[in-house]
Amino acid sequence: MSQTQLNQIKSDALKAFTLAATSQDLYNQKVQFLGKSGALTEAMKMMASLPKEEKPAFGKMVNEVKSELETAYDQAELSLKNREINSQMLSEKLDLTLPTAARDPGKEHPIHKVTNEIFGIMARLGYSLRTGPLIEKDYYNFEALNIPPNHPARDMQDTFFVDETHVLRTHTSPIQIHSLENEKPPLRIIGTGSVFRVDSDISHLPNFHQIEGMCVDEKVSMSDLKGTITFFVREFFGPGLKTRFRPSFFPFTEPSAEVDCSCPICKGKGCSLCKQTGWIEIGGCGLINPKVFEFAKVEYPKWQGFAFGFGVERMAIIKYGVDDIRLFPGNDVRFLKQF
Amino acid sequence: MKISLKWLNDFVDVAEYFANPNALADILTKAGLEVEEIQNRAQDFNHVVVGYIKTKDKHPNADKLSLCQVEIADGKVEQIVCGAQNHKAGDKVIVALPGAVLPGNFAIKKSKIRDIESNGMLCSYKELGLPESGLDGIVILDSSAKTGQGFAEFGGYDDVTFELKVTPNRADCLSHFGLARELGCLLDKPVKPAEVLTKFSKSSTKDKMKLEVLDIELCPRYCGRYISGVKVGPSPAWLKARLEAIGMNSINNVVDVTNYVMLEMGQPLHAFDADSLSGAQVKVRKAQKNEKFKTLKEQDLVMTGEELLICDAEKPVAMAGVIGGMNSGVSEKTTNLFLESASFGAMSIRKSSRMHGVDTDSAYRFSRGVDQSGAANIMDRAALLIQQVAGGEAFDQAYDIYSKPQVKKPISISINKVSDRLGYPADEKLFVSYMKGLQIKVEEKQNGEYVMTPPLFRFDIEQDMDLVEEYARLHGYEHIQDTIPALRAEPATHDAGYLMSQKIAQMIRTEGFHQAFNYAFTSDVAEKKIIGSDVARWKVMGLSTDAEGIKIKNPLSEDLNVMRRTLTQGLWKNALENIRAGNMSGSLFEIGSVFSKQEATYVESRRLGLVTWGQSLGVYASEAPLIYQIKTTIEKLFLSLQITSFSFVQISQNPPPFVHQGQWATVMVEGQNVGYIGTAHPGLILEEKARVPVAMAEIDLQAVLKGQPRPVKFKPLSKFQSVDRDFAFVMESEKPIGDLLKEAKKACGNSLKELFVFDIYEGDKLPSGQKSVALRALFQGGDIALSDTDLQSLSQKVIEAAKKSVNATLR
Repeated sequence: MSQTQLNQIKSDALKAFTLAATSQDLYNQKVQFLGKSGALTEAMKMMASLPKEEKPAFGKMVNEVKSELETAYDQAELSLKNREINSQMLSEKLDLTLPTAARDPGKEHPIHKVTNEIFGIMARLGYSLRTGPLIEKDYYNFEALNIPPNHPARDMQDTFFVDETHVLRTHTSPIQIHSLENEKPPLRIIGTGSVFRVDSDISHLPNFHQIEGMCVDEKVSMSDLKGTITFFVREFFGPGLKTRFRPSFFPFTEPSAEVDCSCPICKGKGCSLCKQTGWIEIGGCGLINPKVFEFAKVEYPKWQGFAFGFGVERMAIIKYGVDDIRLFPGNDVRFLKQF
Repeated sequence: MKISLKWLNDFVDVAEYFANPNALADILTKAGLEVEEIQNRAQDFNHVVVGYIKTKDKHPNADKLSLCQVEIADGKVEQIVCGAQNHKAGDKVIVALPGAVLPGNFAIKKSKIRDIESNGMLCSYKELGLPESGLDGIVILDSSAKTGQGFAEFGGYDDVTFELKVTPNRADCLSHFGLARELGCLLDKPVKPAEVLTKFSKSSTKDKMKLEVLDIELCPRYCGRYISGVKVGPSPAWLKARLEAIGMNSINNVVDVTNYVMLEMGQPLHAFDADSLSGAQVKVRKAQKNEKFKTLKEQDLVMTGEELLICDAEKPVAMAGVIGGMNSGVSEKTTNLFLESASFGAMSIRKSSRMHGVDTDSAYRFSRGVDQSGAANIMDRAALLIQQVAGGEAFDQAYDIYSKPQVKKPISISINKVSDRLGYPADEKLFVSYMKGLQIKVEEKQNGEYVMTPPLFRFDIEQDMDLVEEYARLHGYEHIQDTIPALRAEPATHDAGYLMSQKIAQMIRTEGFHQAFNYAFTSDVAEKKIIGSDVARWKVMGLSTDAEGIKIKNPLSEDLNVMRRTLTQGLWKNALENIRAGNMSGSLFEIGSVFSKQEATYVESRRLGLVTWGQSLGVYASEAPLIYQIKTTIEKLFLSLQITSFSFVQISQNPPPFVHQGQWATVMVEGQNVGYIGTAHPGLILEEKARVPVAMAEIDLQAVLKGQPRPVKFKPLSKFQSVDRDFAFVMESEKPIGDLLKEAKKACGNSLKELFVFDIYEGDKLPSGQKSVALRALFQGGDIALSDTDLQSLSQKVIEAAKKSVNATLR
C-alpha cells in the first residue's frame, strides 16, 4: 500500500461525501471508507505486513487521513442536516395572517380607570386612599357635615332612606368625617366609591361615583386648594388646561367654590360638550367649615383644611367623550373593551 | 328663580344691561349667583312692529289671498300678501318685517307669492309664540295702537328675564328687592326702597279682629291688617305682565298682589277673606293629631300634630307658611280682607311641607329663611298695592306680635386672617368697603382687627370664615393663587382592602375578563329568583346571605328597591343583556359589596363575581366547557395571592336554583368554603332564550384576603434533574379525578413536583361506565438525587393512592 493508494482512498472518500444527497447516503459512504471493513480500515490492516521501520510513518499517514475524513464527514453531515431543516421549515410554513382565538384583554371599567388614575396623581402629593360604608348613618352623611335635619341644604341631595337613622350616602364626604375622627392630622386623604341620589334621567344615575380629597394641616389656604386642583386637573386631562373657581355653597366648606376646567375637547373655543361656554363644571370644593371640625372634635384653628369632590362619571364623560351616562352601568362588552 | 330685569330696575339702576344682559349675568355668576339661562324677549320681537292696513285688495293671481298696503312707520308703506281673512282696511295689525325671526326659527324674508312681491307677514298670536286667547287669524289691535311702535314695547315684552340658581344659603336673594340689594353692592349703586302705605283709615284692625299667637317659637312674628271694601277682579295689565314675565299665572287682583309682593320683597303673605273667619278671630297654634284640613288646591290633609296652623274660632284656615285653606281664600265675593305677614320657623315649615308633599313658593322661602325684621313694612307694601288695584280701606292699628326681635351676633376678624385663609394678601381698604357695601356694620379695633355685625337678612353670615368668603367673592375668585401646600408629614398607608381589590382586578383582567359595575341596589323579585328561598345553602357555600334584602324606603322603582345580597344576579343580567345585544361571547367580573343586617348594624361584605358566556370562535379556540375557564381564573387568582391550598368540592345535593346540577362546586380555601363556581341552569338559559351557555362564580373576598398580602418565602431550587413517569388508570366514570390527584400528592409528599392529567378516554375499548385516565408525574428530589428504588417506591405510592381514593387500577 503506497502513499499514492492512500491518497486515492482519501480523494475517493472526499468526493463520495460531497456527492451524498441524504444523511443516510452519507452514512453509507462513511461505512464504506471508515467502517469495519472500509477501505481505510483495510489499509490499516495491511500495516501488519510492513517492515517494522516503516510502520510508524505509515501509521501516522493513515491516522492523518482518517482524521481528515472524519472532519470532512462531520462537515458534510452538518450541511446536509441544515439542508434538511431548511426544507422541513418550508413544509412547516404556517399562515400567520390566520386570526388567533386570543380573547380580548380584560379592561378596566372606565369608572375605575378614572379613579385609579386620580389616585396615582394624588399619591404623588402624599394623599392616601380611604373608603367608607355605602349605607351611612345620617349623622355622617349630613349632621357632621353641618347639614342639620330639615335644613334646606338637604334639598340639594335627594336622598334614599334605609331607616330612621341610615341613608345611602349621597356623597363621599362622610369619608372625611371618619378620617377626622379616626386619624390624627396632618392628613391627606383621597376617598372614592358609589354614592346615591333619587335621580335618574339622561344625565343622572341613581348610583354614581365620586372622588373626594381632603387636606388638613396647620395652615391651609384657598390658594393651596386651587393649586392642588389645578395640578390634578392638568395631570388628568393633559397640559394646557385652565381651571376656574366660581363662588358656590356647600354647608361643609367655607368659602366654597365650584370648579370649571377649560373644555378639553374644544380647548375653550366652544363646542357642544361645554354648551359653547368653553368651560365645563367638574366639581365642588372649599375650605373645611370650622363647624365640621367642631363635630369631628378636631381643634380649630390649630388645624385647618380644604376638601374637594368630583363626579367620576363626569370626568370619564369629559375625558373619553362618552355620550350617554347610562352606558356606565350597562356593562356592554362593546363599551367596556374600548377602555 | 326667575328674575325680571325691568322689575329689578325699580330698585337699582340696571338700565344699561337691557342691551347687554350677558354682562349682568357674568357679574352675578362670578358673585356666586349662577345665571342658568337668559331669556331676552325684546330680541324675539326684533323687526316686529305695529302696522296700519291702508288698503286691502284681492291678490290678482289667487282667490284666497289678499294684497295689503301696510304702513309700518310714518309714511313708510310696504306691500304684503296675506292668507288670512279676518282683517280689513283701517285695522291695526302686528307686522313681522324682513329680518324678523319668529319662534320655531321662522325667518321672515322678502319674497314673491304667486308673482306678487310681499315684504313681510301679518301675524297671528300663534305665529308670535304667544298663548293669548284661542283666536285664529291675524291679531287685530286696538285702533289706539301707535303705527310703527315695536311690538315688544307695545305688548310689554321688552323685558329680559334671568333664571337664577340661588344656593340655599342665599335666601336673601330670593326676591327682586333682595337681588337689587346685592347688585347695589356688586355695582356700587344706590338701592331705592319700595314704596309702602303710610296713611290708614281711622278704624282699628284690633277692633275688627282678634289675634292670638300660641306658639311664639314656631311663629316669632305675626303682623296683620284689616282692609275693608275691596273689589276683587282681574288684575291690571302691568301686574299681569310682571307676573307672567316670570312665569306666574294671574288669579285675581288681591291674590296677585300677595304673590307680587312675595316675589318683590321675599316675604310670603296671605290674604284671608275676613268674613269667612268665624268669630272674627285668628289663632296661631300647633295642629292636633288627626285634625283635618283642606287646602285651597283642594288637597285633603290629615295633620300629624307637628304642623303649625292658622285657625279661626272653629277650624284651621291655613297651614302656616305653606298653604291657605279652601274655606278662607279670597274670591270674587270677598269684600273684606285680613292681610297676614308673618315669620315662621324654617325647619318646621320645611317639615310640614315635605311631610304633606305640598310645595309652594311660600314654603320654599320660609324654609330657607325670611328676614323677620321686614314683616310689618312689607305688609304695608302689599296694603298699598291692594288699594291701588282693588280699592278698599286699610285699617289702622295693625297687629304686630314680635316678642323677641332678632339680633345678629358681632364677629371678630382681622385682615391677616383674610389673607392667610385666601393665600394671597387681602386689601384692607377694599375689605372694609366691601363689607360696608353688604350693609355689614364695621367697627375698627386696632392693627387690622375688626368687629363686624352682619345685617339681619344675611342668615348665612355667622362666623369669620363667612366674611372671608364675602371678601373673596366680591374681590373675585380669579385672584386666588395656585400654590401646592408642602407635605410636612409622612404619607399614611392606603386602605388595604381597596389596594387588594385593585390587585385582584388586575389579575382577573389578565384572564380576559372586563370589569363591570352594577348598582348596589336591585330588584327584590329578580334577586329572589337567583337566591331562592333556602339561604342556608348559600351559607354552606361560604356566601352568608340574609333571608331578606335590606329595603330602601323610597326606591326609584321596584327594579331598584333592595340592597343586593349577591353579585351573581347583576352579572347574570349583564350576560343576558350582552347576548341580546348580539355580543355572543364575553367575560365580565365585578368586585363590589353585598349587604346584610346584623341586629341594628348594616354589614357590607366585599365579593368577587365572575361571568362568562358563549364559546369564543376561531380555529384554535379552546373547546373546554366554560366552567373550566372560570375555574382556571380562580385558581390563578389564588396562586397569585400565594394561596396554594384550595379545592373545588362537588356535591350533588341541594344546588342553588340557578346552577346546572352536574356542573357546580363549592370553592374551598384552606379548609373553609368561600364561594361557588357553576354553569347556569339550562332551564334558565332556555327561559331567557340566551342560546349560549353561561358560567358564573362568586367568591367572598373577606375570607380569601385574610392575612393578605402574604409574605413571600424563598425556597431553594433543586439541583437535581426531574424524572417523569406516566400512568394509565381505569376507574368508574362517576368518580372525581380530583380525589385521586389529591390522595397521590398526599402520599408522595414533596418529591412529587407536578401531576398532570393528559388524557381521558371513555369509549368502545372500555366497559361502559369506566374511563381511562392518563397521568404524568414529575418527581424530583430536594436534597439528594432520586434513585431507581426511590422512583419505584414513589410510583407504587401513586398506584396505591389511585386504588385507595377512587378504586382505580393500572390499565
